[in-house]
Amino acid sequence: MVINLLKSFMIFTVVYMLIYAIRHMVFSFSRMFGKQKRYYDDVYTSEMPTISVLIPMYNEEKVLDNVLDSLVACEYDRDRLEIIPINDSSTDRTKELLDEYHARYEFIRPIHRNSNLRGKPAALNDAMKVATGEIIIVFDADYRPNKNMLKQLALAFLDPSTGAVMGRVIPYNSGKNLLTRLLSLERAGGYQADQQARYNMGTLPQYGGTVGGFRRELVLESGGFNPFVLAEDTELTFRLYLDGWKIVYANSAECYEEVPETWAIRGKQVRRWSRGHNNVAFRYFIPVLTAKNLSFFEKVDGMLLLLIYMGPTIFLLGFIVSLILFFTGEMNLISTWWILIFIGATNSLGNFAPFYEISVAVIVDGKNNDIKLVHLMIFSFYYYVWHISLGFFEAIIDIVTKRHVKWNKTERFLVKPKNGGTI
Amino acid sequence: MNTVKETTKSRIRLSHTYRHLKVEHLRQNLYLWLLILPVLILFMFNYSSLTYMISNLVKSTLSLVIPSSNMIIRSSQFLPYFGNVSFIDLPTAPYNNQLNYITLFISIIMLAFVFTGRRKGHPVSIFVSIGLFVQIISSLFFLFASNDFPYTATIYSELYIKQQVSLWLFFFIILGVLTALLGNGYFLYNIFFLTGIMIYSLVYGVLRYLTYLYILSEVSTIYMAALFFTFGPLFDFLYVTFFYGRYVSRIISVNETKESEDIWEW
Repeated sequence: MVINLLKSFMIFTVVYMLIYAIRHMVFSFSRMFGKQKRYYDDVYTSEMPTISVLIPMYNEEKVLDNVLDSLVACEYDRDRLEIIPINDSSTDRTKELLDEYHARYEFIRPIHRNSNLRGKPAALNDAMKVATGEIIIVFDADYRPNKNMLKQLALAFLDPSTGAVMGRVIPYNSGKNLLTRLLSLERAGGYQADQQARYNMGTLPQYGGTVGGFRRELVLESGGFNPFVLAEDTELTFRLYLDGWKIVYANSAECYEEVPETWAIRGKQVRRWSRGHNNVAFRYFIPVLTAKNLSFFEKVDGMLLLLIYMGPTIFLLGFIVSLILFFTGEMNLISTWWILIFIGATNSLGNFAPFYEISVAVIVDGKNNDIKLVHLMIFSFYYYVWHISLGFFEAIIDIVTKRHVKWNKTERFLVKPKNGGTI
Repeated sequence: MNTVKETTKSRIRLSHTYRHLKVEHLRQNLYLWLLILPVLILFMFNYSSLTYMISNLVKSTLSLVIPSSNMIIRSSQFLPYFGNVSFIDLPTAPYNNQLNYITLFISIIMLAFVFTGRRKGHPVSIFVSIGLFVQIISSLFFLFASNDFPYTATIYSELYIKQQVSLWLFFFIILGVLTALLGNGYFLYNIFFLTGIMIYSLVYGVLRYLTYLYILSEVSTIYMAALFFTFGPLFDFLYVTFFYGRYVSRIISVNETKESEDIWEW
């Protein structure tokens, strides 16, 4: 009985990996050979919406001038723009620096929070209450938008069916070390291939919480962000889709970010993402499954998106189960035909599939610098299995104990040149 | 004063944002159906002979190292219609309690080492600790139930050959499809890449088979789990992606020089 259960779990693991492998292949094919759905880049109008740019900050003295200087340089009608940096109880010079910016630029209107309820969702809620723009655009403090970025993102909202927009994120510190190079490859696969393919296929592109925007009223009317959710972006994505809104992916709206430069920080980051994402998955799986306004393919894509952070845990449990089966003499599970499916799925298709998206993305981008390191991702695969699984189990404890999660921000690495100026 | 030629870029690239590769149905289908599929079928009808040759080679080599060993080549059913696989039947090394204690001790010390200090949480540490964890489980199993270990070196030998043939089949199919899609128009380079990777895989697979059989027949079966879970198909995946990265890099270099030759569509 127990052995049969374990064998069934192994089969489930293989099927799970095969499904995601097929998903990656379909997306790769769509991005590489399919007709690409374009963004609203060629729309021209003088009637741009009013926008409020929100930048949550906690101890961001190292990087805040980059994002603010970039936003000041952005081409957008100043009468229709306000920038709201949200100082979330910083203990460094963030407050002082923000006040200096306010003194220089009237449209930069920082708010200084000193609340026990901290974190990005709570900070965004407070800022939305004082924001005057119809559209909220969000950037993290380590981002560097280009001159055209605000206009590009705001254009999406000329379409009345758009609930949110998401731009493309590119690391600016990709050449720093091996980790940043690998993250650069991951980002390329995730945006140039995955997000664009979903947009092409009319499924569910994701709002990523930064380099993106949404209609302010939509979020305020539904009570704002849940301050106890770590993945407020994933939650907003599904809230919007369930309410019949669409999310637009702007591949041409490229924004630069700083990616973690140490494995320890990256581990904490993906653990937090996993915890937040899985928390949303537990709460939205049934609503997505039963949603009346989503098509069959949208539901399939939505459920696969929700379950994506469970994959590493399923793989980890599958690994433990295969160890048990090994020592109980049940290797026959992977004999003859089974070996084709098992080995093929777990070691070729399952692991190999994300590499299709990465290679498609770098081929389209025409960047061949880092792709030669792609094989080293095999080691980061196990690293992610470990950290994402920890996040998964934390999410289960969060749900069971109804405990409130605490927001931990990702540490910044930027070192300014001694002679000043930007990097 | 600089001339216009000196102050402008030597080349203005077309936008990459929404470009995609052209599908050339005829060329890509010909490549798939007239090259990849026939070679695949050829391989499937010949893996019996190939595994016999490998077994023969490994048996001869092992006989030089362990002349007293009694080895024979057996065959076992594999894919229906395509024939059996051959593998080596050989004696299993007897369980050695002292060696198991030493292995267990070293594994625990190494696990503590990779889990402490700056190594903690690093990808390589996590990978090594998974391997050590498997070895510790195996050692504990042998410590308490060595007589219940369900496998012999011969069973593992059969599994290894089946696993290896499966990997070769999968690699060829996956890389065949990949080269058809990504490397359209680079026929010779595709052939070079596919042949190179299959030859590497064959040589690597044979050398690993030889090493594994030596360990299981002459050293101990306590390492069988680690050989399967840690140094098994994962390392095949590692070299495939290593070559794959170089292949894609090369494709990008050539594609970028061919920007105006209609390989892209916008």
